[in-house]
Amino acid sequence: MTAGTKGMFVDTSVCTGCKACQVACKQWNELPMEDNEAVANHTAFLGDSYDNTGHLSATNWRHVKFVEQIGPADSSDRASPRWLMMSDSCKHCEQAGCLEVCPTGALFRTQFGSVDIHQDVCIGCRYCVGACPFGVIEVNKKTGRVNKCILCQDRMEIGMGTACAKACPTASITFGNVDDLKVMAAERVKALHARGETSAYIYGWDLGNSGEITAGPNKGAKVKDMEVVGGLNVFYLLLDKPDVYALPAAPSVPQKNMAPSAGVALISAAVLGVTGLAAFRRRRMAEAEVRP
Amino acid sequence: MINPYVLEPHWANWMLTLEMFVAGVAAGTFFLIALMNAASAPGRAGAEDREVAARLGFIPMPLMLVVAILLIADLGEPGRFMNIIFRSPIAEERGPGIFMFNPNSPMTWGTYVIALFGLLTLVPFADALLHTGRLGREPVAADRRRILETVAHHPIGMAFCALVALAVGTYSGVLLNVTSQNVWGDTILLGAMYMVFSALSGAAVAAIVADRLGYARTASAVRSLLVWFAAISGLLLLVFLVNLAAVGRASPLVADLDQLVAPIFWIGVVGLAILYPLLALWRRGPVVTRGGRSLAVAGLDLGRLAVVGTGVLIGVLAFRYVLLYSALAATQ
Amino acid sequence: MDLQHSDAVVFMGSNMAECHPVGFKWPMKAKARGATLIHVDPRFTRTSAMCDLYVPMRSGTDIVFLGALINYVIENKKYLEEYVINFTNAGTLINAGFKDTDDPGQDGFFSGYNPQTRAYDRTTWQYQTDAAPVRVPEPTTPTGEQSDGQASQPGVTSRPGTLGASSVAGADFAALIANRLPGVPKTDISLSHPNSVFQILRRHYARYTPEMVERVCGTPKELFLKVAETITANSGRDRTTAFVYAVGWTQHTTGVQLIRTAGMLQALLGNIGRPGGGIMALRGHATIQGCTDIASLYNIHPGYLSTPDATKAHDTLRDYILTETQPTSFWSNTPAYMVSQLKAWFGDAATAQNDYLYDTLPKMTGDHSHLPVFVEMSEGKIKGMIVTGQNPATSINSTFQRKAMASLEWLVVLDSYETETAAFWKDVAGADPKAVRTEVFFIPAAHIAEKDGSMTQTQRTIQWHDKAADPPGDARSDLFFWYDLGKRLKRRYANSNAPRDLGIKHMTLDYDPEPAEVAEWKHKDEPSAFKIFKEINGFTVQPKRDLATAVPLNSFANLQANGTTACGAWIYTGMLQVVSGQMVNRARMQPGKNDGWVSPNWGWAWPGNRHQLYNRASADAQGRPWSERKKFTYWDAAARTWKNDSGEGIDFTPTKAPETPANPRGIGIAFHSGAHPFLLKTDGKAWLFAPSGTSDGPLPTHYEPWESPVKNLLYKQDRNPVAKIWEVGGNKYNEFAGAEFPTVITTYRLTEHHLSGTMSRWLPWLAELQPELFCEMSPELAREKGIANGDYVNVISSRATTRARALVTKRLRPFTIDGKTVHQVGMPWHWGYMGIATSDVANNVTALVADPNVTIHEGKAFTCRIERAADQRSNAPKGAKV
Ligand SMILES: Nc1nc2c(c(=O)[nH]1)N[C@H]1C(S)=C(S)[C@@H](COP(=O)(O)OP(=O)(O)OC[C@H]3O[C@@H](n4cnc5c(=O)[nH]c(N)nc54)[C@H](O)[C@@H]3O)O[C@H]1N2
Ligand SMILES: Nc1nc2c(c(=O)[nH]1)N[C@H]1C(S)=C(S)[C@@H](COP(=O)(O)OP(=O)(O)OC[C@H]3O[C@@H](n4cnc5c(=O)[nH]c(N)nc54)[C@H](O)[C@@H]3O)O[C@H]1N2
Ligand code: SF4
Ligand code: SF4
Ligand code: SF4
Ligand code: SF4
Ligand code: SF4
Ligand SMILES: [Mo]
Repeated sequence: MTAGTKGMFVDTSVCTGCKACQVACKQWNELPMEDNEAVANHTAFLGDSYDNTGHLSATNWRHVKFVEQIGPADSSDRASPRWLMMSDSCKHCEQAGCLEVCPTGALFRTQFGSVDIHQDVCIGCRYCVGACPFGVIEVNKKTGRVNKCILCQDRMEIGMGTACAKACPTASITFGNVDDLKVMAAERVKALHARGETSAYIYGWDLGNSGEITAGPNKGAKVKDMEVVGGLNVFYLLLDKPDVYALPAAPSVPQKNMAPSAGVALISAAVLGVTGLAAFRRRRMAEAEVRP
Repeated sequence: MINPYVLEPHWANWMLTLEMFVAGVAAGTFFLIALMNAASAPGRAGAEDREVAARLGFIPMPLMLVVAILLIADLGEPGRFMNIIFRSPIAEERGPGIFMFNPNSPMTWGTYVIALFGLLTLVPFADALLHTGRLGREPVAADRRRILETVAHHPIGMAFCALVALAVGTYSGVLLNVTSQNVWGDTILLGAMYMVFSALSGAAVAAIVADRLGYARTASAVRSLLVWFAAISGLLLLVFLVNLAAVGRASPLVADLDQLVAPIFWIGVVGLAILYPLLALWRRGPVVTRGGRSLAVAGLDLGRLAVVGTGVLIGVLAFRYVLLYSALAATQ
Repeated sequence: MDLQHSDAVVFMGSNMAECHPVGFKWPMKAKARGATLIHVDPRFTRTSAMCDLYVPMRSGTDIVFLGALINYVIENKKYLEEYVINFTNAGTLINAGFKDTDDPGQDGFFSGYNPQTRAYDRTTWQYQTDAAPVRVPEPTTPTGEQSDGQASQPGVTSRPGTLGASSVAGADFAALIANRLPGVPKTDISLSHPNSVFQILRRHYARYTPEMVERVCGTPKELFLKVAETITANSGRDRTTAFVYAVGWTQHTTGVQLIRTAGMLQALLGNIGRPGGGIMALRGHATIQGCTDIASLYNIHPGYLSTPDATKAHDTLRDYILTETQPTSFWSNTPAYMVSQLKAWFGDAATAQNDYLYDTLPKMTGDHSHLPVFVEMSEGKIKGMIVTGQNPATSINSTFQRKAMASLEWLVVLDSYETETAAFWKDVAGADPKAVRTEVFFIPAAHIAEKDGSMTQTQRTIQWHDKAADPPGDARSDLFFWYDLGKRLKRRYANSNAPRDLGIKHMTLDYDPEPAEVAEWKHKDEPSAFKIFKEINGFTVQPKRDLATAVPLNSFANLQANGTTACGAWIYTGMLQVVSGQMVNRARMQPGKNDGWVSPNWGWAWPGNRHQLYNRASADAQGRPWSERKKFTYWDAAARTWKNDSGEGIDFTPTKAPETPANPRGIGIAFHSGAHPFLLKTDGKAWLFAPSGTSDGPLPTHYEPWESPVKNLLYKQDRNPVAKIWEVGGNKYNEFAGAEFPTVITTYRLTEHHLSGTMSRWLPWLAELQPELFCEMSPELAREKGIANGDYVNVISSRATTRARALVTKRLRPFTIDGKTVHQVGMPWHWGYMGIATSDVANNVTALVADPNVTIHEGKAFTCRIERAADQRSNAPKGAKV
């Protein structure tokens, strides 16, 4: 990460799940409704807590998740209830899987350290879709190109912060220099721990905190700050294990597979070559045998 | 919560299944041609091999055309495809120069390899044309043949071609490995498996051709190839399953029988592609010939070798399907 | 903003995080500073998720909960004694004839109940007072009218023949008011007299115990006690607790009393008029506060002056003034406010000689609020209706309301979208549009950004906003519509000489824009909102009225009763000082940074830029801050003046020393001592007991909702005896405590939608966030009824059935009420049959039944039956009517 890299700190402990960020993103980026027909046909209702948009997509660059933890599922126990909310978007990874696999250079690292897309270069090969460890980037069915959060590149270029952070009423999303945000995040975790909320930890960077989950099914489990894929420029303060928020527990850059995969293939090539030649050689000997 | 952090794998579609299968067959066939040319020996067997190899030469080029059409159809816009090879001026972050080359992207490698392979397929194709007398009459043809043969049958050239062919067979597997999708990203074996299965499909094609042409000596070698390649495939598949089981992702492939993937895996991949050739061709018998025509190979009527080959081809198609759709099955 | 200073915040009857998401940042600030947040609500909501403590309770039982807190505070001596003795009426003695609900034979009634009229006579609720000063004889009014407080016959129009004669010319209102001073209330500052408010209060709530809370509300006793401990630990000299409520408290047949309970509790704890204290009423629509101030209610004029009422002694302006002026509170200034208002409305034509055209004002004859008007409409008594900024087709008992509209001859709907109301006939007539004969006119209205104007938010802070774009097509501002209608009426009556038409003839419609105001817009004849704004602010009357050049007034203290000032609403006098500067620089103002934290320059709050009402109470009786930590308004003994360091306006006479004794001969607030902060009260004190102002009792008392599955466990009387009910066709009530409708249901809002949904369901981005009506229910109830998450269910009441998706969630829970399981469900009410996201109307199942004081409906607690729908298709027709 270079100095001056911009990003966002998402403090889920103060997220009220109001979805203002989600709407602000759509408004600023002029994104359409995800599925008109589903709404018109009454099939859009998901019944998944208060979430009806399901996941990030080419038209949902931001998505607020809801996790209800009101006691164990199959009992009437409702002790220490929690309703976790988390506003998700592209993480603008330091080691961005999407960027690394893109064969055309459509995906690129901006002057702000974020990951943006040249729409006119993208060929819609969808490689980045499978490469992102977080399921962020998606093909836009209308254009055939991919779309995702671009950290409001146009706003940053004129010195403004991101639209979602601007709209967030509780400052759950803060835009700024990642260096400053890390300081802020570390203070925030400490303040929460001091209040007895020891569940808090950082997903994205290791700022040295560790704690213990205070409620929910993972109560008592240890958590600690985690740096993932070289650091996330959009990073999170979480109150439960990553998978509770549908975040991968140990995401990795897909590139890690490239050399090993190619290596094993090379060995196989050798085996195939040798076996192939041997097959013909053996046949020669067999042929010699049958010759009267 | 129902939102997975892995989106649906977009490559799980019939066009790409077919594309990978066809490219694999083309690559495998080319590999077989190279192998036959490289192993070619004097005498009757060598002559048969060359004959078969020449006929096989007809196959890769048209298949690669089909591949190109499928790829373009899948992408939607042929024009944009160029951005992989020629750098779009808009993508200025990738430096100057007219070529686009992202060494981190298996797709970049794959595209270059496919392009090169596409060109290379012209060589055996021309060779085949010459061989079957379709490229002009003697003596013109003789000159051309000489040139072509030095190119097409050159040992180093052949080794290189074999490598390129195998690379084409491999790259899509590596490409799947280099993703964050369930199953695909969980292992590093897909490149090798893709390569081995395309070699297997090449052997199957050769078996069919040798059988239909009635070249028992070649057929006898191809029989061994089928058995060995099937054995290697089976071995790799086993390691792959152990690998998947270790990360808890084996069940969509082998156990979720209500989805299509697992049944096709058992019947198609395990049954047709691996067990069928192993069981049917395991026992080696004498080559029986009468009047210069081979009648049976390895205790097997020649016709049956073609049947086994066809079965194997179907099995390889199943393999393509299973692997592409496994990620989908593991995500739903 | 003040909530940031709270040490504990109790959200009760409000879902602040969802309904006031932006304001919610202030309690979040308090939480970050270490404050404890508590949510008391039948449902675990997004607000609960942000709180330290979530406390469940059954809908409609808040008075038990709050009454038990009062009981706890009194019995454990947790009240702030010095505050209670000096600032509240705890020591005041009540009429010895007063009988409380628990007194023998009262069975839940107060003394004075008349079963025939279903109303109370409040005589026995009054204060004991010293003898009133002897009245001197008064000259009769020039017209010889009575002024003794006797009402004329209701419904009789006042003396049309004498219109124009004067009742006020030459009247000396100061003397007339002085002549009406009451006696000084008797008090016992030891608070031990059995007739003292404090002792009555103590006895009244003695049976409101933690155990009773558990039995009635279904709230575990331990949780209740935790709330009690938290708020008492966070109240006192050095700490303050705030209560935050909205319509979770108002929408009950006991709504007004419910809110009073909280006010009383806060008065006992010493939390009113102090930073971080108070009870925060979160208002609704964007400028609903402004609408109340500038009178969208039928019974108040702008600035909370009473609407002339034919059933009261309001015959002449003099009668009106003498009836409405409270001699011993800030309302002693009523004459100046009323006369200035008439001057604003009728301009140069209004003179003392013609009673400022008071007689041309229509007088109300009863309850003309929403529900009774629709009942009258259903009876064919109303011919036409203009609906602007409302969507009654989705309102309470909406099937009834839609049917009622079908008996109109004409209906005008002024809205930005074709609402359910504009399309009500589509629903009522079904396949046969001819079945509805109402002629509907739909007038496209400009939206907020398409016009100049102002908004007053929940803290009474007013802000100006400029027009940002021209409205599309034919859409015009509401202002244009009404202005144009007014001008047409004036033209129509221009030649009339009938006295009753004088009002229309003299309406001051002089709001034509200055050229600069419309230069950049397509319509050049949009009236000037700014001129109206200036008229509301008030100005000194020049020889000839000219709004463009009129000099605005700076304070309501400048308003006169002699016709020399004009002012639309006295509460807003002075706003132009701040607001006109604000038009230029609001964007640069940041409260707490370059502006005081109360935002004196960022937003002007009425009255007199006082954001915190009664802020004199933030100092003790001697004028010293209660503590350094809670320092706010205080007496600077050296400068002999009240001070506030945050730029706040002092809500008190600025130089009236704390030791100033009460003056039994003083008019208005001079009647109060320097230690009495509550200017708007006749005794300057916070009322723990209300001798007047409420029609259902001087003390809040628990009654079950009109529809409840359980009987009242506290009194023999189950329900509010004076609740407003309408036993008319189409409004059948569910049997009280009957078996047919065993489930408690409440209705509420979601962040994602706004009210009837016109402003959100038409917007794709919001429509997709909550696409369909749902009914939240516990897994326990769902299991009992064989309902799976996402199934369609029918929500059934005696009025109708509504079809909704089931959202099965443990955020809802069954309550154990007196040992019996009672299920509660809830539905957000944002849907209708028009727009992008459509569903059944939740309000189909609600009933017309209301609070007796303000006629608010009981949408927060009623009963229903839940069934899994037989037809589970997503596009299936609406639930059948029953
Ligand atoms: N997003 C959004 N914001 C809005 C609005 C909107 O439609 N959408 N509407 C605006 C308007 S007009 C208004 S009036 C305000 C209303 O603001 P709120 O009053 O906060 O809104 P509601 O959701 O109607 O009700 C609040 C809560 O009362 C609870 N409740 C129900 N019955 C009872 C009870 O008996 N006792 C207690 N203690 N709680 C009970 C409900 O479960 C609900 O959580 O919101 C304003 N803000
Ligand atoms: N069951 C149940 N019923 C309830 C409630 C509840 O909690 N439960 N809440 C009640 C409460 S608190 C309220 S406030 C009411 C609200 O009920 P309504 O006021 O009937 O509902 P809204 O949707 O706010 O209707 C306002 C209309 O004004 C239009 N509008 C917006 N701006 C303008 C403008 O500038 N000019 C004009 N002419 N039109 C404009 C909008 O498009 C919309 O159609 O509902 C009440 N009904
Ligand atoms: S989150 Fe995914 S899409 Fe975003 S930068 Fe990282 S890899 Fe790319
Ligand atoms: S879809 Fe577009 S952005 Fe993604 S890898 Fe392919 S070319 Fe790059
Ligand atoms: S940073 Fe911009 S593009 Fe990204 S989620 Fe926020 S608003 Fe959307
Ligand atoms: S705007 Fe802020 S509080 Fe609201 S959902 Fe988004 S992150 Fe959460
Ligand atoms: S809708 Fe407007 S008034 Fe309501 S919370 Fe949002 S910004 Fe505030
Ligand atoms: Mo409201």
